[in-house]
Amino acid sequence: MNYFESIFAILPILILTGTALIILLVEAFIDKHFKNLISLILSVAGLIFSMYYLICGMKTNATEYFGGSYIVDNMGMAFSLIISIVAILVIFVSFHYITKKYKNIGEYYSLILFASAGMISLSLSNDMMTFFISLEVMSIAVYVLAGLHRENLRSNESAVKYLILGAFASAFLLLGIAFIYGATGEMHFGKISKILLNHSSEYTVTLGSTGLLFILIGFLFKIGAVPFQQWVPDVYEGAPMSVTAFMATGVKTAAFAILIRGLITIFQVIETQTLVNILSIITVLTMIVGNFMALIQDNIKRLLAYSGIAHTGYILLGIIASKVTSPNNMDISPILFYLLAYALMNIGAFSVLIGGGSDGKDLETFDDIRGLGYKNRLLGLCMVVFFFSLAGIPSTAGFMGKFFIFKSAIQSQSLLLYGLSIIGILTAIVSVYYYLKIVVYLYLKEEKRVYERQSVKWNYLLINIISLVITLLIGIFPHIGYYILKI
Amino acid sequence: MTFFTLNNCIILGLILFSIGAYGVITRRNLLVVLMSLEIMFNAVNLIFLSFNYFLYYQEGRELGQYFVLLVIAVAAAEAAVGLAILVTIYRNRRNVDSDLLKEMKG
Repeated sequence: MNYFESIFAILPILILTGTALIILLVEAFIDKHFKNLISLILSVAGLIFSMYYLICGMKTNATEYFGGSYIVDNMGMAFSLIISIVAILVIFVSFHYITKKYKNIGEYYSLILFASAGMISLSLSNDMMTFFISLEVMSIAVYVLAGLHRENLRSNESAVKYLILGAFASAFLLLGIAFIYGATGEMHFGKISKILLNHSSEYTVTLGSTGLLFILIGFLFKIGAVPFQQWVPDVYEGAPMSVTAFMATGVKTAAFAILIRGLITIFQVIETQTLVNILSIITVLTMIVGNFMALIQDNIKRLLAYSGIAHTGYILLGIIASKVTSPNNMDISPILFYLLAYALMNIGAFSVLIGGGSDGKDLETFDDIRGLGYKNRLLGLCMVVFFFSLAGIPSTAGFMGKFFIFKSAIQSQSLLLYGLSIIGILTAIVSVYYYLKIVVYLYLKEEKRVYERQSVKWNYLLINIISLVITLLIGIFPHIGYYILKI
Repeated sequence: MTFFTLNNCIILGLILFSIGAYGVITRRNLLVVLMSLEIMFNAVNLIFLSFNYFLYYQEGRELGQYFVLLVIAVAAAEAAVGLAILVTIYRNRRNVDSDLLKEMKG
């Protein structure tokens, strides 16, 4: 493979890293009144450039670069596209938010860009080394972001919990990689699965499957599936609101990208039935625990964290369905659609929570959002649509996402998946309760109280309207969503 | 030198890994928790090196050694971020005890 072609293939990642460094440099030289605006413009420009090169680099058939370290294929590209969109939206959401709380604004933007570079690299990686490095680039940037609000005790706590548990999970992941290296002597995903499938001496297979189990645990930790979900609510609640939006959407998308990449390469070694059984148990637990724990929350950030766990369950259901239908060549279009819909409605919801707050205080508890629908009608309307979408009410993106996932589950015609779909639909009905509870609070009026109209900054309005339009658009015409992802 | 075998090296690595994991779970002082995490990473490095040395080095395959270098770099970055976060916690609380980290519940 030509060296320049390889460089061209990872150009999106290089551009993001370069822009992040430029922002850090530029910040030192400009007046503090323009810092925020210039950092915003630079980072959005970098992200758009990198998206442009991502789309340019799209190939009809999968191509490997740098001796197999990176793979450019439709799946990786679609995931990278979702990640770039998420990063742009999050950067716009944080524009006015961060000036209220932080002094070092450039750091924030560059950390978001570093994290997105790690995520894109993660979804294109095809080798244990690239995979581990990109995972850590992403995670370390997000650890710092979670603790960005230095004077806030909850932000400190969130960062330290995320760091210790994340590093603990990485250590197990590394142990798994070490075992697989011991069994095969290779790092490349394709070569590993080839060796494990062909030279099946007992030693190789035992060591290899132990390693794969550890790696699966690492993946499940990152997506926040149930036996490993304890960190999610605490970390999401303590982190600054815009960072929570980034973690709930971007990090989750990237973790799913590498989970699916693993399932179509190295995890083929494990018998499909065994893998499906393990994942089904985790899926059922994730859907049930996520939805039922969300019922008893009184903090909206925490509620959204548990709802994120529940959505992880639905996405895992889609993964099982495609794994059962075609074990070696998974059809992941429903999963991609769901992730896009989830990202849009979640960022929209967080943007309302940030934008609706006044005097530097975010909307966090149910009491805070009481009467928001009267204070600002547009924000109220957006919030209603986003929460209808999260609940899966028809004509929204969330409904179409759930529809495609359950459709693929039922089309696979296996008894197990029928059962999983029934549990999924029942828990989705439970979820309607807590989503609609928020909508009720939005329009709950206290006696004798006149709500003053409250204006909202332009960036929140922009993100709200973009998310609202796309949520409704791909909810009514789902093929537009598929067109965006080019699948 | 019959003691210096693949199995013994792996067992040593696993023992170190378990010690580290035990430390992360039981210790209250966050500084000690970070140290335990370092022990876990270094135990994995030892396992990598022993696999590489005993199984693949004679054939001229050195991938495991390179991976160890990457892991060392990542562990250093993680330790740097971890210590920075601990410093901010210490400034706010004058204490780095994990028992005090219970602002959030539910």
